Amino acid sequence: MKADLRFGTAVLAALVFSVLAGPALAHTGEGYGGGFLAGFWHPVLGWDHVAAMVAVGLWGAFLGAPAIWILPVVFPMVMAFGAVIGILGIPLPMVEPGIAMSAVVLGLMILFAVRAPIWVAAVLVGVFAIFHGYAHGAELPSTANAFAFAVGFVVATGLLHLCGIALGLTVKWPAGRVAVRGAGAVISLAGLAFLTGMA
Amino acid sequence: MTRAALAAGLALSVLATPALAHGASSGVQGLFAGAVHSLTTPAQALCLISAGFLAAGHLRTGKFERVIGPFFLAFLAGMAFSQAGVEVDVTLFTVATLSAATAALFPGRAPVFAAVLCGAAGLLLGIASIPDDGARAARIVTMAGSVLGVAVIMLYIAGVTDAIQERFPAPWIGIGFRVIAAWLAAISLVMLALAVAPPR
Repeated sequence: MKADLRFGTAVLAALVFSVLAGPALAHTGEGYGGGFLAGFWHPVLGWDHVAAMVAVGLWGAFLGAPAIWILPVVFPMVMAFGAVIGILGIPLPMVEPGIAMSAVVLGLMILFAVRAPIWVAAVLVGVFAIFHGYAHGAELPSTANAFAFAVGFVVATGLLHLCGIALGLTVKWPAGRVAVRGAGAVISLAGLAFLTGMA
Repeated sequence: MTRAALAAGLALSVLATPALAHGASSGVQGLFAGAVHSLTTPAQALCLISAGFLAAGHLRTGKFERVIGPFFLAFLAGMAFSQAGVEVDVTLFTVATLSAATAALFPGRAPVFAAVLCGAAGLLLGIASIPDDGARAARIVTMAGSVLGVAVIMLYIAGVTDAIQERFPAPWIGIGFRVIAAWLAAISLVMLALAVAPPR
């Protein structure tokens, strides 16, 4: 009985200490690690970016070859061009509406299963990629390691495309087709919410 | 008895000093420093890896030697005819962007253009690999390390990408390498912009 009480007190004390404990803060967020994480989380934590990136992968998978690989190859390179504009401080109008519109338009393309010619798809995706890249370039934190930040946001963008492609590959089954078109509707609605300021 | 042996073992392991079986040979540190030098700055690393991806695309077309040859010749020329301290980062990022973009968009095609890009990459990497002033022998050893490092990295990138594609012939493997090359192009372009942009 006494031993149980001691054990319980010890556990309680440990819990209190664990709740009160502050973060270790061993890592300052600077340097390569901090820069990579800052860059990696930038597209992942922005829902407008996530919606559009996944939509690119979904639409690519929906269109099949060669779009399934052309879009993820074209997007990062054009996105980098947008980042260059942002880094150089060249003003680009309607950046946030452009990002929101990318989700709306690409979502609609998926919802209505639009089989656009590959060059139309590449141009459309490329135009939107400039807005996304501009946001990454203009918001590059001055404390982060620039190289690691660039690696982080490019890799995260590519992985989001991959998520979209993985989901999009289910179009070969009837249920998957419905799910993908449904995902397009959700992305489009989310884009509308971003555009109108509801989200 | 067992406890005593355990305690003695622990005590000895705590007291043990590093083995130091190998005395550092004279110059070997310079060789290693030269070998990893091309990976120590983003500009050189991106240019080398991008050129590696570009050359790798030509392994299957039988034109690998025509693309890799200019790289090594230009690398040696850059080291032989330039001098230490020449700033080439902006040009390295430019060549890295073009090389990676070509590898992503036209893998195994345009061998002449690929050879020109690989030659430019080799020349710039050679210039960037010249050590600062020091003893002649030490500089030669470091430069030998650079040649070794660049050769190993370049041939490894080409060899590994080809081996993976041969082992796993699924089309998406090749597509994956093109996507990675596109990422390299994007990162190089961003770094190029940062290199020429006015300070924030």
